[in-house]
Amino acid sequence: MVFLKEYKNDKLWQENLNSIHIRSDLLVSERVLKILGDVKGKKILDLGCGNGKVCRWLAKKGANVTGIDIVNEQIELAKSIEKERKEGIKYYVGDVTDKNLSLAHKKFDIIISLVTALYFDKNQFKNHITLVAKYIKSKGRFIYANIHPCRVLSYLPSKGVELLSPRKNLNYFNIQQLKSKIISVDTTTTTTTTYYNHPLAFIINSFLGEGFMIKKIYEPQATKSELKKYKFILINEDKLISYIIFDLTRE
Amino acid sequence: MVKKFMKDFVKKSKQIYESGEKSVWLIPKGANKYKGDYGLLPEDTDIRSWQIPPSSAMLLRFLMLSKKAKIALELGASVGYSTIWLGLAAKEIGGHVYTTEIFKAKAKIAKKNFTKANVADYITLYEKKIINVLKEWPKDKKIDFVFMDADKQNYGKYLKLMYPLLNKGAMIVVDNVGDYPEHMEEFLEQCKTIKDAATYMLEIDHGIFLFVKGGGKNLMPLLTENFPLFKSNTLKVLIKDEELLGFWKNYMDSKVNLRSDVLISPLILDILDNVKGKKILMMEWGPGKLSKKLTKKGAFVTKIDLKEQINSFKNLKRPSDIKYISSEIFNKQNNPLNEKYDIIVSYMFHLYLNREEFFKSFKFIKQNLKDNGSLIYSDIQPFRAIVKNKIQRGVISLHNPFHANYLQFIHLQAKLRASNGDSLLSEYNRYPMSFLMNIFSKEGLKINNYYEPIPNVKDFKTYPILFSEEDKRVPPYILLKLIK
Repeated sequence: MVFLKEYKNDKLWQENLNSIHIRSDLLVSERVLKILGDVKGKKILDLGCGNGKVCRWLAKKGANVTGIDIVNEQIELAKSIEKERKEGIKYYVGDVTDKNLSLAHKKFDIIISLVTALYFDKNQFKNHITLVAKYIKSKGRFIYANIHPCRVLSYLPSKGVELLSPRKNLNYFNIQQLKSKIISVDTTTTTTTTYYNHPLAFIINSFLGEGFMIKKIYEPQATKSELKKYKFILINEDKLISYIIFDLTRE
Repeated sequence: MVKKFMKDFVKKSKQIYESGEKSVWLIPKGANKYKGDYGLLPEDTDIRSWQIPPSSAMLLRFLMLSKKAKIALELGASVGYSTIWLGLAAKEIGGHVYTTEIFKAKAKIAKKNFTKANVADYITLYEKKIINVLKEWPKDKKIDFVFMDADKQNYGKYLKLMYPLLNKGAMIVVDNVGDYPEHMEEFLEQCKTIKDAATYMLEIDHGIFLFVKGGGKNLMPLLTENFPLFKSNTLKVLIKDEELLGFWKNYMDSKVNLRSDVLISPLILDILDNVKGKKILMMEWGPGKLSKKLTKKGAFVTKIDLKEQINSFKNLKRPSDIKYISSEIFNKQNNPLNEKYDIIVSYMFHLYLNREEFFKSFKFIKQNLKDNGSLIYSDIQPFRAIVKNKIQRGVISLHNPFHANYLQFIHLQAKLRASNGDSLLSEYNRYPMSFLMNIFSKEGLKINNYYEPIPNVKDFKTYPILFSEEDKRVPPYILLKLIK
């Protein structure tokens, strides 16, 4: 796993090593990098870039990358690594649900939003997609990945995360706030996170409303060997579907 | 006396089951009340206990009789309701039931109930922990039948201890699988890893899981043929063509509705709006109820019948202004219809196609749909099978939702319930979301709108037999409008 190697190399990140983050790295970020293919010379915008893991990987492949995140500390961390490595990545603190957000670059070839939109309510989600539509080049590519909307309805547990909201009454249609406990890999620390579940009809129709076309949908599932190898973060990932990835384009 | 007791006992348990409350029993004299003793607190004035639904209890007796089980073991007797039904079976076949109840007050009531039901001679109750009962079980006394209704989180442990004690062909019946699946994950996993075994998931009551050591004959025909719950007047399964004929007549006249007729059909009519003079190709399950409606609105309809269903339409009078074709046509190459259609509708149709037929049908759609024409596609919600956690009464599925793999093409069998209480046996496939969406994209069909319809208040009122609360929580269907 590309990212696991990075984690080991970077002491800065070991502090907040959560299984759910490694899992989404394996089942989303790695898959997305494969889906993107050759990115050499492409202008890429990463919305909700966090500490810049995906940005750095894309920069290594020769892309011209910009990362935005609302969390100041994360961007500071990303910038400090950029200072050391000088990969030419630009980072900004910014709200990616602000449709009027202004960026230095005019348009991007590729925009990615990876497991970011779960923190957005209905309006924020729509604004997020409007922002993407505004900054994407004609026939550009938009990769959207998030927790699969049906995931929360399943009773099968995942490693490192525990739903705190009462499961029995969960309704697929209520775009409600959910609460989960996140447990670190070494199970020593826990944090609580709140997020939203959006029905597929809402997500898909939001894309269509902004003129996007769905090229392909991926429902990444762990392979048998991955399940074995990453036992410490994967459980039930061969039965369920934890994430959904949309490969979209816009005229 | 015994008859009256059983009658009252069944009546009481029925009431309790239907009201969703726990049964309440007076605490017997001398019961040891101390804090933390299995739910009985010093301030408690009565014993509350859950009981299995009467239909599950009758099923237990039926299964034990059909297995001719001489030695039955029950984990968790509570006040003895299920034990009595096992005891009745033991009485008939000369067997014996061993049961456990750690809580003394409950055990006392249970024993009294056994005597009242006249089955005390056929039941031995151990007032011990289950784990100890299993550990002390004589190795040569092989068990034929097990009913598990105790501490769910320890089922895995119990199975490990129990398995060597089981006779070949022994059956384990597990209750509440639908209510507490999260506590039984390990147990169900374990059952799956045992190679020489058959497992069944009965979606009745609280969800009953059957495990048969050594596999053996398929149990399903036995259940559907003999067990009252699966073969009652209120849940009549229509299989023969002559039985279906009457059903189709009522169905075509809209006297009888299925779930999709309430949720999907009106939505399609709404989306299509003005169809006068339009050429529509209908891929429709059944004899063509929606096709008939569209014809009435002035559309020129060609209907494709599922080849498996055609025989049952033979003696049915269908509207003569509709052209009927068999789904065999997907196998023919090149543009077989010689004309292009404005609209193609797939109305609960593609789920009955296998993977090969599925791909062929989309080639066919591409060939026969005009440019800018629309495809209305309906299907079951791809993820429904893996997220459902409440059990619908009267629906049998051969597939075990707890072992479902989302990305596999799962072949399912279920009963389709109709609003008049009849039901049809239905075998269908479930395709993952990404599979469906990527076929659309591959064949150049652009998604224009995506719907996830659920029943409204009126639907619930009009068709209480068709919908459950679960349908509000998880959408049963998907409907898409696509443009070529």
